Amino acid sequence: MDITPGRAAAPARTLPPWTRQRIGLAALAATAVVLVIAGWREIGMGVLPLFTGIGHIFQFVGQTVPPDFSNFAHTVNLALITVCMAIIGTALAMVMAIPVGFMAARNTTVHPIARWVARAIIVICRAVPDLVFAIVFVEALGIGVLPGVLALGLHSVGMLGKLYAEAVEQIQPEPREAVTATGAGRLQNLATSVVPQILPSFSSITLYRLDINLRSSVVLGYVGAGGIGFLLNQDMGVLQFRRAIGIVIVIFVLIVVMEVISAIIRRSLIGTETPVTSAGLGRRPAFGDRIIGAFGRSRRAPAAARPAPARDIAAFDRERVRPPWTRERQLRFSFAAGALVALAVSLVVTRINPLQVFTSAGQIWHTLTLYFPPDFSTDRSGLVSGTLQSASVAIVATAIGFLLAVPVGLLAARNVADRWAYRCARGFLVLVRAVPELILAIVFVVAVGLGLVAGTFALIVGTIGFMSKLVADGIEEVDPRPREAVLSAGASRLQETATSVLRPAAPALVGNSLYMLDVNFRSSTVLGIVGGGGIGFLLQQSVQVLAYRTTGAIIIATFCVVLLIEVITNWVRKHLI
Amino acid sequence: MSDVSPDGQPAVRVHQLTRVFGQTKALDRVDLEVPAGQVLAILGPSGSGKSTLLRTLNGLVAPTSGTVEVLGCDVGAAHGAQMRALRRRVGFIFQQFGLVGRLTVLENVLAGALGQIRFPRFGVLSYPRRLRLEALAQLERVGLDSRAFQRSDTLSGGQQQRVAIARTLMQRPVLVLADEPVASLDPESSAAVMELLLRICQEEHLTVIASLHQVELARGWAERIVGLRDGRITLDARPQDISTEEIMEIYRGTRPGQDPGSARPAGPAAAFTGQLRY
Repeated sequence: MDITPGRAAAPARTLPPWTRQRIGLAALAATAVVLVIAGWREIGMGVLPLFTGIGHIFQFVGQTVPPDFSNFAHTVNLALITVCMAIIGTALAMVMAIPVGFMAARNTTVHPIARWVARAIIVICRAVPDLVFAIVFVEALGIGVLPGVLALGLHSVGMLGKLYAEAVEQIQPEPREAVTATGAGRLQNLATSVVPQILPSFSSITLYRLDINLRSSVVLGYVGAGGIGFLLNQDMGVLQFRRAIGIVIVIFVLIVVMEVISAIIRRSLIGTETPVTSAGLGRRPAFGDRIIGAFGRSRRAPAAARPAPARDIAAFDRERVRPPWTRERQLRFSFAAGALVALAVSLVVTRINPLQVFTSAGQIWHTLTLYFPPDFSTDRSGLVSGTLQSASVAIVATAIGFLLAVPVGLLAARNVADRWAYRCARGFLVLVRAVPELILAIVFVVAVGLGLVAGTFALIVGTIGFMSKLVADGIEEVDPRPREAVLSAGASRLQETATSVLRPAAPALVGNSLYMLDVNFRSSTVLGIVGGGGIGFLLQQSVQVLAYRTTGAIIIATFCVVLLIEVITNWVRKHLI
Repeated sequence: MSDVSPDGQPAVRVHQLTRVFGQTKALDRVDLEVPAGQVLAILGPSGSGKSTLLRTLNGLVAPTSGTVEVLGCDVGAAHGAQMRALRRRVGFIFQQFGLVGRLTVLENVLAGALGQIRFPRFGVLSYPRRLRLEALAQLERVGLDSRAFQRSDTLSGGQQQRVAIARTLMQRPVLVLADEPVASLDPESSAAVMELLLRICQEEHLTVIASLHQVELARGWAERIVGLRDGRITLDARPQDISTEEIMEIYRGTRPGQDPGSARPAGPAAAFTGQLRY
């Protein structure tokens, strides 16, 4: 029935018009389906091996109990070294990433060329997996903690620089303009109007990276970068499963403890802040802040919570004009002092001589030259198929992980799930995330045998852990008002969730899964090392037989694929979402 | 009311100033001269170029063409240390206050002293004690000294603008530019803030150029009213010589009695030169 009498002749149009965006999204969806099917067949994926392999898992688990803690002191000692490695690596990355971040931010860069260089550094550091850096540095400096620290540091510069730059670009411009107007110099202005605004985001981002680096530093041990991963690799190598599971338990506890500590720090330090991103400017929060919001709930915190009571502040020494020791100031000072102490202790414990980086620069350079020119010809077919396999693993794992992460994420969102489901889901996520992907991969290798399928399963679990958190966070940010409206229109609970929760959250979900694809491809290189197949397997082989130039070729291939994924996802994010 | 400052120099001299942003002409051949000590209000609809004009006066926006001379300094040609030296003498009060929300009130006021000292500063204690005491005294003048160590984003809008005024006073300015200083405030705090700003400027014999959108407020305290529309000066008069209705015409774009014999300049077509002296 036509309700507009004036236009009775016009045919009723019930399909939305095909805008360029809709065509693009449809093409994206179609491409994704095709790629997932192709990847699935490439891997030889199936759910069946999981069930047939259950016997193997039980058998394996049987070999691991009771866990052997006979070497407990040594294990804990190495675990501590792993923590120290993560701390020093993160500190190193922070020092390098701060100038990079400022140069890469549109509003603080000194020159377009400087911005371009900074962005290139960010992309390169992100695209080379930390494991690859570790392989190179272990080759140059020998087995030990320092190569691990350098690898973590260099690789983290990519993410930190990118997120720092995003945080800088999100600052309110008004205070900057005002401080400029007082006649302050460039650096003075930066210190007075920019730094205070970005401090909460910077600390949050850095803490988040510390969490990631702790997980990575376990993995780096596998290629000789010291710490507990090295021990784990040794024990696995000689099939000492009971000892190995003891180490795994220590790692698990370590990561959970670390996560809890950083959550506490974040809540007490940053949870009281309103990060610049949500300063009522109506801008979409940066991706990094969305990740961080998922951890610290910082953006849920009420604006400017807990300002110190006015009477405490009114009472200050007017002669000396010194700020009173408010709770906020105490917290900030103790955090800064704590961070410095942790760094100092780490340097002492690991006996790292920072100067060694400079004294061994020649060695590092010499090692780098070994990888060049890269040799693409010796194992060309292996290189191509390995890259394709790793890409397939990443695509399939991202797709399946995404499908499973949406329901888990819904359960972990407090505005959708009921209280108990919420708590269980959040607890489940913490546990899943505490198991490094490497260990997941080992379990799946045992269950379904060496190869791509094991790697894919490991990545799927990893994706669920990471992605569900992002999904849950995206959903918790959904505007509640339309939900009320949809409910009062008589929609069922499921209808309401679909219409007023999933629909508005969809762009963020697509954006996050694209990001996940990027992360998963890099992880798939790591998994190859424990038998997860793909390009990582080739990498491991070429390193073992000292075929440096083949290694170089593999590194460059990995780099190119990561870059390609990044370019595509950036384009999609910009034009379609 | 003095015609010129003791040295005979006007505080601001703008000649044929044009500023183009992309396709839009924010300012179109503006001529304006402001004698030292004058309190001038700029009126005009949004997008008429008020903010751009004020920002070209302290070099926050560079002119596309024309000359801008402020306190004897050619703003268009100044840069680096010269520009900073000029800005130190020119206070600027923003509609959005421009306070760094996470910093304490006192540190925001101290930012006004950055032009006098060298090196970046972190925290109140990194400023010399002399400046800390002075900042506290300025806060006392705006009545907020008891809030010195409160975070500035916990203050109300009117209080924040008073902090911004204290920051400007910290510069010891000769000229104060105010861009819609009370547009974000409720009527009650508007009046209080405006009163405070004006009183202090009178005490210090400062030249004031403020853009406003409340006509009555402008009539109340300005010695001279300049109307801007589409980047051109369409009105320049003393408040006592002109009715509110005539001022309102800036907003409508047409003026009654646009006869050539009219004593006052009328509309953009009048090619008013802005050379009127009071």
